[in-house]
Amino acid sequence: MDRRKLIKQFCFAGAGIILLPACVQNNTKPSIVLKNLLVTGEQERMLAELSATIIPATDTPGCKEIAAHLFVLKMVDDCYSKADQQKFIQGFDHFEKACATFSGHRFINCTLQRRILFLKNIETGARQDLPERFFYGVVKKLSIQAYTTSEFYLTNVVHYKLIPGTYRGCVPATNLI
Amino acid sequence: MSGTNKTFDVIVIGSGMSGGWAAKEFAEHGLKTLVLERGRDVRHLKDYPTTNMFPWEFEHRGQVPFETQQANPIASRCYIFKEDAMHFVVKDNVHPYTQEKPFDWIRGYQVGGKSLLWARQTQRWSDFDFEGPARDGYAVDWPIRYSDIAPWYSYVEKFAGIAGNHDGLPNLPDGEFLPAREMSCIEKYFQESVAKHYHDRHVIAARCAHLTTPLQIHLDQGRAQCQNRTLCQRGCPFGGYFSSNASTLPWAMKTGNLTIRPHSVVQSVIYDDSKGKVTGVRVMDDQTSEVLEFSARVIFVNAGAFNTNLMLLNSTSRRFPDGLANDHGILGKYVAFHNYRARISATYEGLADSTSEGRSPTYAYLPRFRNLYKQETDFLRGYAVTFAGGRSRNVNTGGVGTDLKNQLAGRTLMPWHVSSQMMGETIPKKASTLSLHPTKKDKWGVPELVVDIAYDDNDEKMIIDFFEQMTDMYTKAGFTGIKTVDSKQAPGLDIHEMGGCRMGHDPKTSMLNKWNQLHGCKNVFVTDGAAMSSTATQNPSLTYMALTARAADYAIRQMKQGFL
Repeated sequence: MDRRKLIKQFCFAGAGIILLPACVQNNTKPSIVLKNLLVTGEQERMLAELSATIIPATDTPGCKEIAAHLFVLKMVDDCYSKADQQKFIQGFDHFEKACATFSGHRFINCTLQRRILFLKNIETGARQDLPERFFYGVVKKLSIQAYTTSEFYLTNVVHYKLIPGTYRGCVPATNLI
Repeated sequence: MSGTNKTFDVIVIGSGMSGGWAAKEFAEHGLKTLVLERGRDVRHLKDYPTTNMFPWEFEHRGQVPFETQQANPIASRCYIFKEDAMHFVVKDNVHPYTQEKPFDWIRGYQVGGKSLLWARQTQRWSDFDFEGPARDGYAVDWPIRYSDIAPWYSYVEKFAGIAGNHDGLPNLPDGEFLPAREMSCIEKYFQESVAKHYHDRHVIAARCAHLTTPLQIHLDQGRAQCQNRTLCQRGCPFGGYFSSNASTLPWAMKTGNLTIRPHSVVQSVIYDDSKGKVTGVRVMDDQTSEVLEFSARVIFVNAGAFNTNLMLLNSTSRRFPDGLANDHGILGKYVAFHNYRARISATYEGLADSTSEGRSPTYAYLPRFRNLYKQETDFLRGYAVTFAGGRSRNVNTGGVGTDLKNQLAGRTLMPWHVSSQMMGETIPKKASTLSLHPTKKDKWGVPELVVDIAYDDNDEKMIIDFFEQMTDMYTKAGFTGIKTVDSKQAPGLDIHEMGGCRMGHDPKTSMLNKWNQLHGCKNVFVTDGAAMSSTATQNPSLTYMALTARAADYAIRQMKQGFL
């Protein structure tokens, strides 16, 4: 990707962040209106960190820059059953407790290294049925969805075209960028 | 609606696939035509709200919110019911019906109907299909043969724009084709493999209603080349595929002879005992609940198979106490559909150095090969099969951080994934019925429709054969990891419900003659799915279009000669 385009992407992403009321809100309310989920502003900030740990900014935007955590909240709020929403909220608490047990800190206060170790620990742990794993699974799945359907990803990584024009039935597989 | 005129030459009930054609034919021939549509207006280009939206612009990235799904279990089972096109699918509570056995009735109440949403597959029937009931002894003999409808297939194909190859197959006759969309390497490979191992099975490029290379007649409609967006269900800003909205209705409108009246729910047709014919229709305006009457010399019923049956059953009179022209109780019986329950998928490790590029609006097609020339299995009839394949990016979602982010770029390709769906013919039976609910009425004053339709033993046997034969074909092609799935889905999700007002030679055993004209009431024609005496395996819309144009031509000649 050329530098100019990249800077432009970052500017857009940056502008988005500034517009979000996340930085000016009080501690108890999330920055978006949720119909079903009871989530605090603090939890929202933690989700942003978690999602940014899953897909970080490198020389290109990551989850934080595309506000993936807000997509996570929106989707759980609108597209999940009441039972799964409850599991999500309960899993949130378990996740924080498990993190404190694992690293002695709340997730948001962990170093990047500790965060990654903790997440890998959950992901590869033998117990698939833990509440924190359910929570983490949902956040990860939706963060990946947010990222891989973002304007950045679909414009710069896979070159999605709304109007492809042509279809070619057989091309060399090496054409993939 | 222009003016308050209530008298027309022709009234067409329904503006979908077949109603649009009726409107075009009559308006072009100078007949004042009223199209009654129960749903809202949807204008080409103007009323496609999601058509130019990028994936990231959808709040839920295409997913239907949980509450909406819960409120609409039937609609939610339809593949079209996603965030980008759910506004074109009827919600469950809009028009309730009674299911004696599970049946998912998928509807599109708007100008254009389901022609906005269809899968755009347009395969001709052959005499193997038209002669089926007579040969195999089920339903009733079709009063027409391929030669009767062939010129009308050509007629509608030229205008609609159908892409395909001249394959020279007796069981899937060639038509007036625009260049076919290119087959992918995996489709060509499977085509060759099947040809090598089976002398009687032919994989071809499916014929589809896409303008691969538009001709003047298509440009004249204001349509342009298909851009392979594969977002058809949103409505196409290019008019790249055929719909009533992009094609027949605006064409008819240009003549100045067409009036379209949306929000008009037809309760019944009005039969005049003294004149021995229908004089008009009774409509409830969905917005004002006002009941209005419109009159015409000829009525074309194109409400969609089930609603056509419902409206005719509800059209009672002293002469026809059990529904219009229903002296024998055939109306609402012998209903059928397509069996879409079975799928097969696999992986192919070969052709590793090639892939396809872009999105394809269609796939490859294997026409029916079972019981074609003679009965050879323990079930009647057979099935057509789709074949599609593609390679997706190898996206590993394991791990976190920059590693995960790099993996998500998916710079390598997965092996080919291939899949096929069965499209099985089902046998119309007397026990498969539509009827009026004895007490429940809908908000338009029409009895609720009672649907009593199920799979039978023939369908189950056909599914087993599909799995066996496809596993065989896939194995011979070197495909691995073969998986078969019987979705057990209820009938209806094929959205190919047919029959109930079948065509036939004999007025004692059928509703319609060979011109789709009611045996018992000559100025009423039914040319939608309700008219089908049997279902064949082909996607039916093209046949509805051809039957409609043919019947309209007949009606126009009869009108000119003063018989109607």
